[in-house]
Amino acid sequence: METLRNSVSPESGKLRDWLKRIHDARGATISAGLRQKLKDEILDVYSERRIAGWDGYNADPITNEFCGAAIKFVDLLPQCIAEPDVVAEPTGRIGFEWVVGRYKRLSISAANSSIEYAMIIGSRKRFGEEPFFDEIPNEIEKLLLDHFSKI
Amino acid sequence: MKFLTRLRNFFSTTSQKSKEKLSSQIIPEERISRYVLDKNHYSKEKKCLRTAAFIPAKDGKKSVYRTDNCSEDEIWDIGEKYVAGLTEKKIPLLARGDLSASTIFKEDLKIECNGIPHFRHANIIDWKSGAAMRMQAATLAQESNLILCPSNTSK
Repeated sequence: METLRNSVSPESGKLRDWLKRIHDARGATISAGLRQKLKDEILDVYSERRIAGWDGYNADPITNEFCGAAIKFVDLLPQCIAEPDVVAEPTGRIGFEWVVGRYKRLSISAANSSIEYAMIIGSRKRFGEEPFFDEIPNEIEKLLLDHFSKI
Repeated sequence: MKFLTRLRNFFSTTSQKSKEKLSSQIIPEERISRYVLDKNHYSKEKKCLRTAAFIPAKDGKKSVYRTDNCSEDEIWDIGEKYVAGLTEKKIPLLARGDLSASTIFKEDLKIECNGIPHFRHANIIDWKSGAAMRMQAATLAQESNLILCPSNTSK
């Protein structure tokens, strides 16, 4: 960090800001109010879609496993992240989605031990799967802080 | 009664004409519509469809309709009769997402016309798995135009 603080190039300045945001956000999760709101939405999505075909087609029921993983994800969401929408998926998973305007979108869904994500920013696309245990994977945390932060 | 008969004949003729126009080959410019019956699959405020609206169920098919050359009334009529009307609990039709076939083809997906329960019905098939499938669905959602169902505008 010391080397970065003393450096002067715009790139290193950006990197320093990003590291500071990560540092500040680490350990500090979203406010209790927002966390509770998201958990309430997860439970609503779960309780309203426990029967197959809830989407009018052939969706699978939302399962306990994915409901639990979604709650764990909310508990670990870093501070200063914009509020996501909680979404029921036809595979029985619960997803989180951030949409900003027409060209910025991030879709995430957590399972017991992994997280899937897909992001579109203009013509750039990124997707992948990361292991998910006791913290949000660095790759996903960086995407959230870089593109879907309230600050 | 005469008016109703004439109206019925008109729609019957229109439907027959559009059936004649529907080629078995889907061209990239063709309009494809996905009907939405779950309030969680679109955002009225953000005027968009959610990625979940295009994520296929485990059978790997996403049900859509070929709606080129259909009037707005015809499009909603298909959704009401052949999608919402066929659900066990008569779930109301809320919205639809329109996109071009080329958007679907660009994602390496195929459109399989099966004509059941309506001659315009098709399925989007050949989905990838996991995060790659999520990316395909997100792209289709991003490129779709959300249109709210006029009979359910309050939802």
